[in-house]
This record gives sequence, structure tokens and C-alpha cells, in this order.
Amino acid sequence: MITALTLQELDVENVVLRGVIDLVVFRIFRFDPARNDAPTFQTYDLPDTAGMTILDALIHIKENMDSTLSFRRSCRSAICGSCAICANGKNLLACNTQVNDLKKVRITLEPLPGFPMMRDLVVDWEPFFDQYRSVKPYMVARSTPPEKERIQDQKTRKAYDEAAQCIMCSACTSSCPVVWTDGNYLGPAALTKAWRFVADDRDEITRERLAMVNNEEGVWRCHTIFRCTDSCPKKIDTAGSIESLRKKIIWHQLTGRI
Amino acid sequence: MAGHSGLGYYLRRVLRVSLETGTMAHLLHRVTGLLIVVYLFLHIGAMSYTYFDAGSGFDDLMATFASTPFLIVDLVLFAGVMIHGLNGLRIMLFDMGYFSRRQKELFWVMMAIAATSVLIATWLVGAAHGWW
Repeated sequence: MITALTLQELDVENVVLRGVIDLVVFRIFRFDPARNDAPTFQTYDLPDTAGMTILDALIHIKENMDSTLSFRRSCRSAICGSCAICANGKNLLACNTQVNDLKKVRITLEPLPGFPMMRDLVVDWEPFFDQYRSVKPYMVARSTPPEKERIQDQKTRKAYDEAAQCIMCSACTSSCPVVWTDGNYLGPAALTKAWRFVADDRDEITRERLAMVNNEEGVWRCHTIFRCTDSCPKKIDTAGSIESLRKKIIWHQLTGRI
Repeated sequence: MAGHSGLGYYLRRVLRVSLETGTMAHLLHRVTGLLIVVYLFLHIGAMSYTYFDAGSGFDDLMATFASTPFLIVDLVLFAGVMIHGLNGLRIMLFDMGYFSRRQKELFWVMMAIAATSVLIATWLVGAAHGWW
């Protein structure tokens, strides 16, 4: 029988957790700009993580071990997108990821990469929402509305069904290596939002929207790395949305519509 | 606080990412692309040898390039070109709107084609130079 103590002494990594290990070491990114010059990692040992999400673990650490730890959370049911963090190099929602599903005895938690750091696991989301606002994330219909609602058939609704699931957690934009090199790139979240309204036939400014993203800081900056799709907690094919936008732009250009 | 974008940030960050298939393809594409660019300059340099020495020097150089260590490097280069080219085709398929939901499988299909072609090339080069 392997005990927790020997495991910690041996510094064993990559061991399948279930049924074998009863202790997980959390290596958490700590940085307080008011007190520290540089970030550090602090470790917290948590026994018995069965049935615990990463967010549960963070709350447990904050309530019982270190009240100075800062992180964002709100709904705890994967709909608000506040608790997106980077765990072992992969962006995910802390609230819908079981600790034991990561199958590691050592879990490194960092703030979302690609955004300015504020404190511990909290990042400044202002650049993200600037990108988001710049693509006009709302329906524009200037024609006179019909007596009741603007009718849409099920097939058309299905075209943007996936893109409409976005909860704006920023896991995709933050996971994008292109965003890490180019702070002006719109990023997958904003582009997926643009696609959501381009694919919606009730929206009446399709050409304006396509012109908005048809530039080198828009759809053409994407390198098709698929980290955005891989990290989306709602399983949206964000890279696919960017490809759909590109296809639509090319089609519009070939037919002389933009 | 240190910047959160730019080449330096990318290089610091990219060493710590989780290696999903798409990320692996991206990194392989970068590394093989640089390899091909470096080779291009080496190639132009070596070929311009005739400009300075039109005599037997060039033939001697060519004979050196046909020796086993250089042939092995040639095969590495061939592998790099195959990986880069086939991954480029993979990306073009996405751009045309195909397989974005099957990108992982497509990567391994392309890598299987690359591996097969490198094996065939190795066999052909080996046969031509009496390795077996």
C-alpha cells in the first residue's frame, strides 16, 4: 500500500489517481502587485479530493488554509464563465472539472495566460471585453419589424446553435498562441461572436460584419492551432467558426458583395 | 509587470502548454519551417561554390554530400519537408471548410503519410548507396 507521505516524498507525477492516491498537491500561482516584485508558486496539499471540483479545492484552500488566495468564481454551474483558469497548461472552468479527472498528483494552477495579471488567479479582462465589444455583439435589424417576432426556421437556427452557446469565459482567447504574440488580434471568442451574428439571417449588417473581421488582425491572423476549440468548456468549434467566416468572406469577395 | 503578449511571452508560455494534437502540429510546423529556411541558405551557400571554384572543388564537395552522414541529414530534411507540406495541406483543408471537427485524426493521417514516405525514401537512398 502506497501511503500519501511516501508519494509526496517520491514526488511521483503522472500517476493514475483513482483508487491509488489520497493526496493531491496544488501548486498555485501567487502574485500580489502591492507586495511582491515577482510571482511565486505556493503549494497546498489536499487529501481526499474524490468528488471535488478544482473550484471546490480552491474554496477549501481559501476557507481553511490560506485566506489571502484570490480567484474569481460566481455561479459554480459552468454558465457564468468567471472561474476559467489554466490548470496544468490547459484552460478550463474550475467549477466543472473534477480534480481526479486530471489524473495527476500535482496540479499547477495559473491565471489565464495572455491577459494582464491582477492578483493570484485573477486577470484583467478589459482587453478581452474590448475585443468582444468591437465586433458589435448584438443583433442589428434596421428593417421594420413584423407584427409579431422575426421568424426564423429551425435549419437556420441550427447554423449558429453552437456559437450561441458561448459563455464568454475567455478560455479560448487566452489559450491562443497567436493572442500571446499579438495583443491586437481579435481572438477566437470575439470572432466566434461575429460568426454567430453573420450566420443569423435576422441580422441585417452581414456585409459590415464581414468587413470588420476581414483584416490581418481579424480572421486572417488565425493560425488554425485549435487550442481554442480544445479548451472550450462548451465544446464550441471556435476554430471552425473562424474558418466559416473566412469561407463566407471569400465567397462574398468572389461574388463582388464586399 | 512583465508583458502578456509578444514573442518573448510566447516563447516563455509555449514551453508550459498542454500538448494537444493541434498545438503539437503548430509547433512541428514552426520547427520544420525554420529547418527548411536554414537549409535553403545552406543550400544556396553550397551551390554558389561553383562561383568561386569551377574546378574539381565542386565535385569533391558533391562527393562529400553523398557520404552517409550527409545522406542521413538529407533524410531528416526530407522528413521535415513532408511534415511541413502535409500539415500545410491539412490547414488548407480547414480553410476550405473541411474537417475542422476531425483535425486530430487528420493530423495523424498526414503524419502516417509522412512516416511512410520517409521509410520509402530511406529504403531507396539505402539501396542506391549500398546500405543493404
